[in-house]
Amino acid sequence: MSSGDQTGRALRRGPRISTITAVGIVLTAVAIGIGMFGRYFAPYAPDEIFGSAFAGPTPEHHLGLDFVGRDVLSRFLWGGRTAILVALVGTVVGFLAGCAVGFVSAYRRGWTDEVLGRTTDLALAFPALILALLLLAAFGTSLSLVVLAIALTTAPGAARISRAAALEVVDMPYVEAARARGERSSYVLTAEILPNVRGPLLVDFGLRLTTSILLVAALSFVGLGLQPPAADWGLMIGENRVALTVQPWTVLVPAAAIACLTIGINLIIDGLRPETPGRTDQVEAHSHV
Amino acid sequence: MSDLAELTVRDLGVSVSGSAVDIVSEVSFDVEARTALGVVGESGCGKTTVAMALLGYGRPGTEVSTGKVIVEGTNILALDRQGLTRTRGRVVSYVPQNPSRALSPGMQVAAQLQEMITAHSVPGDPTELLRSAWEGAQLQFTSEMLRRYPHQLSGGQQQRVAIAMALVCEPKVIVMDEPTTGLDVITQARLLEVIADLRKQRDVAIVYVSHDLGVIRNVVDHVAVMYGGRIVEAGPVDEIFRDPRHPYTRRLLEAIPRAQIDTGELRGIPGSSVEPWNRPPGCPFAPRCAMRIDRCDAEMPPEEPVGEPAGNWHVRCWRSGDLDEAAKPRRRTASAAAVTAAAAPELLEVSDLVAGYRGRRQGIGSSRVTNVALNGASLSLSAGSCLAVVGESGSGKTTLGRCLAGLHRPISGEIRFSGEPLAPLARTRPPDVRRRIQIVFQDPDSSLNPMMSIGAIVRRPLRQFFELSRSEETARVAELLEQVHLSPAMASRPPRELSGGEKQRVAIARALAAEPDLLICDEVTSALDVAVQASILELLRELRLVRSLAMLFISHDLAVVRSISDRVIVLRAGEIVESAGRAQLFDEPRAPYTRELLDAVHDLRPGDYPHWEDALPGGSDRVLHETLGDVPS
Repeated sequence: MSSGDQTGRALRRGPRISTITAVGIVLTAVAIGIGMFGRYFAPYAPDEIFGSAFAGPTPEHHLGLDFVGRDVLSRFLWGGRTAILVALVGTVVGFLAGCAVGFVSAYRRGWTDEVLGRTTDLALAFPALILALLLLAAFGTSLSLVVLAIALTTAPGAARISRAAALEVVDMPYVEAARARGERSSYVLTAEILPNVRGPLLVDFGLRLTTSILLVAALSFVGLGLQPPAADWGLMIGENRVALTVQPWTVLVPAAAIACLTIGINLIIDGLRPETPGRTDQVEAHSHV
Repeated sequence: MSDLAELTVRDLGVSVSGSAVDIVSEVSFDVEARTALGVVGESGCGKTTVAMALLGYGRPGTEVSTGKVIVEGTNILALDRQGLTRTRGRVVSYVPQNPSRALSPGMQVAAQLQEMITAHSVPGDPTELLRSAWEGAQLQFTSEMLRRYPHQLSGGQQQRVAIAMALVCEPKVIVMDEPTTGLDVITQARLLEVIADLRKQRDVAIVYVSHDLGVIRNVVDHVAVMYGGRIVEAGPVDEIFRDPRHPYTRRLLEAIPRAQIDTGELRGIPGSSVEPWNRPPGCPFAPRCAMRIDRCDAEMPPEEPVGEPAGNWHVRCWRSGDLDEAAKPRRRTASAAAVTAAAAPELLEVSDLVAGYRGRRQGIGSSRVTNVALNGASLSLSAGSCLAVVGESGSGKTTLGRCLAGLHRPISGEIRFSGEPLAPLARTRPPDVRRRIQIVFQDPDSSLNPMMSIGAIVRRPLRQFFELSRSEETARVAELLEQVHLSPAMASRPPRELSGGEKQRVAIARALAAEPDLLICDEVTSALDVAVQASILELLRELRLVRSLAMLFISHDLAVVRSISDRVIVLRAGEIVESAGRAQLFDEPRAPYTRELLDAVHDLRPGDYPHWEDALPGGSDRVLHETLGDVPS
């Protein structure tokens, strides 16, 4: 490595956490905090009916009432956890499955790669939302099916990305050295390859998580996700959208929370990305992840 | 100093932007027309930074902070952006290291040259300019050639086009940055002829930057040796190579393997060069110098003239006057290469090995095209001996190594190891056979998993092949690191904190951990600086003696091969063209191709420092017989 490269990197290396990442962390923390723990601060039960539909904000009900007269603030505070957990579990399951497929593809090559690759292509050909709708319409709506739908939409893309990331590493001499020693595939994949692709995979996981959060919200919005009378941000938007002009809080507040979460995650990812392209810098950036 | 100078550089300094950290400082030289100056040094010494500064360019994160670069009375460093644009390519032009990345892939080559003429609105007939540049680079001036795209040219041709591009605007100065690095020996030799002709025929001053002292020796008139961002010695090339006056220059020359003569043991330089921000206040070489005195650490030595006539040759060293008695080259001792193990049983026998790579199917129904990399190679290797495999890129030498290591499945042929047939892939070989064959790769940076500690890397083969307790493993790791001359304390560090040579030592330690009988070395020194290379070769030689390790040494570098091997096979396009003992191959090559390879090597010249021949009269055979007796077989 020449001295020029080193000084260059020394100069680019700013503080470890950029402003953008900090903003992202705050936004995400706020949204997740409300989603996960809001219910303990809710003034009322989420399904308690108080008065007429779409009543405006009053001192008792700070955000007014929804389309059947339930307290909007309480429903908002109750309505995040399930969706976040469903999105998270679905994404994790799908992502792990996708990575396994991608890694095996990249490591094995040959016909294994061909078969897995074409299957992935096939799965990617379906738009995520349509796939999820089809699944839920055919087998009825249940939480585990929503999780499955999320996993199914996450896996093919994750397989693609992880295959590409692993391909960069499988021919590295240190991997070849392991193969020449006759190491088991499972060791090579988890100890030699995985740690070196962790960075790009984490970034990709973040992106897919935001997509999943939006997908869960969208499914609830069209009535195929969480079912009434459950409190859920996506469902709230769907149920109350007719009154957007009369009682905007019922729609805007949950929408803002979802936006807060997805934008926050995206900002964190931006902060994780290497500032300049180039292998050494990437390795450097990833080792901080 | 000379009025004839085409290029005058005074007190050039480049620093990290916005800081006082100097990458390069106090660089001064002159280059006259029709001469070439070689700038030489290890990686990180600042030679490329100087080359870039001659075009008024500082790489991102750096800035040219002081000094003057004067061509035709104009200080290039004082020019504004527009002035620089007019100057670059027109007054000072540049030939990059990697032509395949410097030429635009989507443009015909002639169009790229024409673009230069148009951009600089060079007076004169464009076709004539083009023809003159094209012929200057010794390319054929045919419309077929002119209309080619870069990918339709060989590496050597691409570099000639890059040279033609540098010539086309008839500049005063051409800066060449490692223009032949990465090319095959024969291609390199032809290209160097082109450059040598240019120097004689054109009114240009050439600045030739290279790490390769053998090349520098043969293409330049003056040489500037850089270390730690400064020129430590500069002067006429013949004088400096015969009798260098700076300890660093001496150590560099002592580290160079030679293809024309037997050198015996090469000496590396202990320690590694310092980064710009860690440089000592005194001489940058002082921490590694055997002649260091207190003054060296405290004060930067000035440039002092040496030799006759004065003013030609400068050295930056407090002790250059005391060199003669202090640092005589070490008398040649037994080289491990002299160990011939004729009585030893054959460890490895390869017969009719054919291997290749499958291409893609050209269309539905057609069969895959196989590119044969190795076509019927047969060889044998006895326990404890070293067989070198030499060839240009694409000769199949790496494929041979990969087949033996079990990383590539051969198409046909047989490999026998200790008399037993060897399974094609490593994972189908019995563990004990896997343990006994180990491989070390070319690029130390990618040989070690960046996410593991050095200790974990060396420990892994121990865990796999031996049943040791945790504390035994730790002790063994320390032992192995010591065996490759690294500190056991390094075990906890990640690879990125190590230098290239240190990483390669770790890779060797990892291979040794398995206690192999055969070590496959695939171009293990070609990514390393010459001084580091010497110490790695020294290490390999020592290991052979201590552990009676057989080695398959794959290399493109004949000089390196001469310094380490017992037998040599020469590969060309997958076929073995010659197989002979080392002495015979180098002294009386039989195959014309071997001779061609040997002729293409740019070696130091007879009589250059260190005076190996003077150190031991009697030739190589005598060493061999003298030393055979006291070497354990």
